[in-house]
Amino acid sequence: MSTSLSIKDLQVSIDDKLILKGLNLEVKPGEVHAIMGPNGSGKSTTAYALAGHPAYEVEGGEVWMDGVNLLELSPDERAQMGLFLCFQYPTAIPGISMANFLRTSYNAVKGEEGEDGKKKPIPIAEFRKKLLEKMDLLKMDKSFARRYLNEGFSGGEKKRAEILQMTLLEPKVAILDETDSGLDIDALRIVSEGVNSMLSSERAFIVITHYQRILDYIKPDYVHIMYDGQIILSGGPELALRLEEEGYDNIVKSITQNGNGGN
Amino acid sequence: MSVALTNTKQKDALLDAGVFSRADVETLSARLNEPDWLKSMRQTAWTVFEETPMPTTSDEAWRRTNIKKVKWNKFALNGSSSVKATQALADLPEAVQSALEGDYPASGRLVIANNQVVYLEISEAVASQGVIFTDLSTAVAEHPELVQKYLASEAVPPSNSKFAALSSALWQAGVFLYLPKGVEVEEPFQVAYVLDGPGSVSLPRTLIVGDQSSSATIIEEEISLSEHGQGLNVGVVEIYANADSQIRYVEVQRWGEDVYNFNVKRSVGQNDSNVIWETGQLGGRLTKTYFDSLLPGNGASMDFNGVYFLQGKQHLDTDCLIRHTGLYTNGDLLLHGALKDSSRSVFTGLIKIDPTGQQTNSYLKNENLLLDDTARADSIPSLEIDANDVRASHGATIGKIVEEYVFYLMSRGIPRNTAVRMVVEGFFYKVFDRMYNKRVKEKLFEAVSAKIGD
Repeated sequence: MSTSLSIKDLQVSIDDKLILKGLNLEVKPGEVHAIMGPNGSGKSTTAYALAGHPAYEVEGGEVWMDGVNLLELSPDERAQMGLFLCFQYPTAIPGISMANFLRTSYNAVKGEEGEDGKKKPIPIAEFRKKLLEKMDLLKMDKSFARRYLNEGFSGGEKKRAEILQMTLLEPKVAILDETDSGLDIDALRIVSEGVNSMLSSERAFIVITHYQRILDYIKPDYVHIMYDGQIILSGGPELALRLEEEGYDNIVKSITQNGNGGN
Repeated sequence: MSVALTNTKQKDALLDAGVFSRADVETLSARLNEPDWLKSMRQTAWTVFEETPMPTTSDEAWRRTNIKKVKWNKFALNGSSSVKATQALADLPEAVQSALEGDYPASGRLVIANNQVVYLEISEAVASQGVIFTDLSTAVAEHPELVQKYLASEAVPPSNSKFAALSSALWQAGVFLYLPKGVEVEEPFQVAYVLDGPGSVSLPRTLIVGDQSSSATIIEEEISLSEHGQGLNVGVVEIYANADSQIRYVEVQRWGEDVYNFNVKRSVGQNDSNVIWETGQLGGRLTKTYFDSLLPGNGASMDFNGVYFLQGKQHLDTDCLIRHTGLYTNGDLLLHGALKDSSRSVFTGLIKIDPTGQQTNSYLKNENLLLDDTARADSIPSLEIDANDVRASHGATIGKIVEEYVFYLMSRGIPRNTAVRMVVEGFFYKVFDRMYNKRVKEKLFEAVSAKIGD
């Protein structure tokens, strides 16, 4: 089986401070990986670096996807390859309507190339139908499409909007960065159902989370514990439960004292 | 003129250039066979023009707009135009036709090229309701009592300023729109002022009078037939909104890149009237335009939805006054501008509330988006409040494209140039979304969008 995403010795700094210190991860189609770790361990840095945020400086390593080193691509090219980051704090942009944004994004990622090499936009009516279907699934009000992109959205609305984008763009690799944060139980259930409806043998998920809670809804195949810019321990779903019982401090202490350096 | 005055007269570059003279005033009045009251009004205005010094950077209102280097002698008053008078829209130049949107309904259309009326139409249905829409000289001949009552009176008398005095003395052609009591006109009136040929001078004058409980929209387009070639425009717009009337004045300024552009646009709103300014300022080399809203009537209100987009060496100075004199008056002004290259914008906005202007609400904001490091914007909003029971606020922002916005859009597969365009358009959409008329919104959006480029 081929690999969806292969991260090799990734080192990333921000403001000249090294945050990721050699991250390794292999993700195959159909797999759900959870990355857990205490604050400051480098979880969100991993997400941003993979998406190509300009403030995150890659100091070394490779990230392979479909035979291409993602690190050499611009953020839009990565998205067009099938990478999707569900942001922890999605940006609100004034004056851009949700509908316009979603259609433009859809055309850029999913538009089929015509004979002239340019992507053919989806007919507006067809897109609208598709959009309303997905919004219905996420229990979003129709008026949402007319609002400005994330502007004035509640925390739950923002997360739902992120999941909506994911369901439209149908990525090969989706990274969920702390998607559970700031969600009440009902919103968490709706968002998780949205994610679960996307599970497929073609698609891989990386679920980044501080708490085990979301993993009750989205079942991981693998759980990795991140600490100080590296994955220090990998295991199955039971690892998340162990974390819940013992806490990060104890697990980190036992590993670093034993000199057991991760996977 | 007294000897003493002559002796103390300062050097006046515009007067000394000889582009305009008292003889021109006399010739004009004679040519148009004007009535005595108008002849005398022009003469008086000319005297005011002579006696009013040229504004310099020592004047607060002109501190950031220097016109010292303008070569006034490049301009000539009676430049001929290639646009011939016609009764068919299709005969007009492409740019004028597209501005007038022949495919859409209009209540009337008027085209003035280099001060000559070349096209005029008014819808039969609108005219039959007593609406007057014609060029200003015809209005002087056919409706002297109305024109005399309002022209250069409370809104923009010659004493307003140097350029207002020049306009009063030498306006050549213009628009007169009169709405009788209770007449609400649905479709807009469309006007195109055209500058044609290098050195051309345009002296347009627009007079709009809305009688009690009337309403209408008027769209003025300012067009140069060629992008290059120096031109001079000195224009005045007066809007008299009587009780309970609503006047929407739209300006789409697309002068060529070498045009010097000076305007005074002022409205006077009586009880419960509403004046709405909607402007897109896109062209011109150097512009100084005043948009003043006087609100003497109780319950009078004004709205202003404006955008500008500058590039190259364009300089745009917009000066807005909202003056609250009546009780419970309302003002709401939003002006957004983007600047490329080494262009420059200046915004001065004043909310002035007189002691009588109690229970007033007023809001004024100017936002600037700098698209290049070499562009510059100055924004000076201020308040002058002499009443104690009012709400007034103002704001100004000057910033660059927010890279976080661009990254977010790119992370969704949208290429950088499209992402930047979306962010810039979004910046303007905050203003467009306040525009009630879909056609106006689309017209201004397309004009701005075309200037964003790639």
